Amino acid sequence: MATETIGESGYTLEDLSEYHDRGRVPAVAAIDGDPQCRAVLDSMDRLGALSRELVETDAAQGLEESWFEQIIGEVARESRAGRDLPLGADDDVRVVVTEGAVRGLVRDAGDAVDGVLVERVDVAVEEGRVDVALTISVIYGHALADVAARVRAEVHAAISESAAWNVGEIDVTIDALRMREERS
Amino acid sequence: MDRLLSAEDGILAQRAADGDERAFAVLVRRHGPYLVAFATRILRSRADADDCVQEALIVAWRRLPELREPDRVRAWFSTIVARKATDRLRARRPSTPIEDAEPLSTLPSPDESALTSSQLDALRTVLDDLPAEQRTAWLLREVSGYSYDEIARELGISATAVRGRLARARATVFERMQEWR
Repeated sequence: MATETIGESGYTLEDLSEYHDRGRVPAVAAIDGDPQCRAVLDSMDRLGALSRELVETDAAQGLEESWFEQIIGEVARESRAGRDLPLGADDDVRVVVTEGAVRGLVRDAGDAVDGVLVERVDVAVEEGRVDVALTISVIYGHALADVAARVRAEVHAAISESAAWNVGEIDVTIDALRMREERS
Repeated sequence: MDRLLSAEDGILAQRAADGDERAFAVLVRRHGPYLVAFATRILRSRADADDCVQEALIVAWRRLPELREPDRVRAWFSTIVARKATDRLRARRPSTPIEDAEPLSTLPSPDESALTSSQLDALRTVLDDLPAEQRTAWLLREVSGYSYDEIARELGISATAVRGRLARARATVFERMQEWR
């Protein structure tokens, strides 16, 4: 197919296709200078754009609510609890809490501070002492040092309330600033 | 929590990697329709695509802690979907190499027939008529924006083979879409 060359360029349609996929780099003067070749390349751009539009149009049809519910239900069954963290130091009874549960606790505590969304949470427990490292994003306009201090206080309070650990370091990293919060 | 609805993908992906099911649910709602539409084009079946993307997203949930670039979570989802869809294509015809398979005659499925744009319908038919591996290569390249090397990795073929498939796909699409150009 397409053995004839396009315009005066001496290149075939397949050659142009490869040239298109290379992003027209390095530039080939015989192609770029030929009006027919340029028209073919522009058509290839349009067909690519049309393919994206096709998928976006189909996507706009949406999905059944049950489709989402099946995924969310499966995810809930497979909830990733992570490691067991020792809660008590009693010799007879070993009490543990999952890493996932502590992360959730820290996340909720951080989210409670105005303008904050928590990103990642790391928890380490050793000999009854817990160290927490979390990254957060903050809405632009909040005083960052103040926000970090409040997150630290909330996390400290939440852990102290729920577990008998000594709270060690709470390392708060502000990872991103968001411009605003859209209410929906 | 409604604040999650407006949170960027990167934030949601990081929370989901930590086990936040609500953040993952927001990602699934945000990108599910696109992923199903993408898989439908590969598989030529909306019902298969529904199943395929559900399966892919549950795999994604398990593997989220491995995600290196949380901001690109949609592209990462697409990769898993493309791989699952390719597996399904292979399983459909275990004895026939996909490359040799003849294109099937195509009738629009009922959920697609309502679409009014005739140009999009024409392209849909042309893509459906392509051999499966040319079609998959085209979709990964044009819709997902993958490089030849990335497509080669997803399809388990050489970059040279990808180039050949894309060139053939493009020549066919180009010629059959002539009246729309």
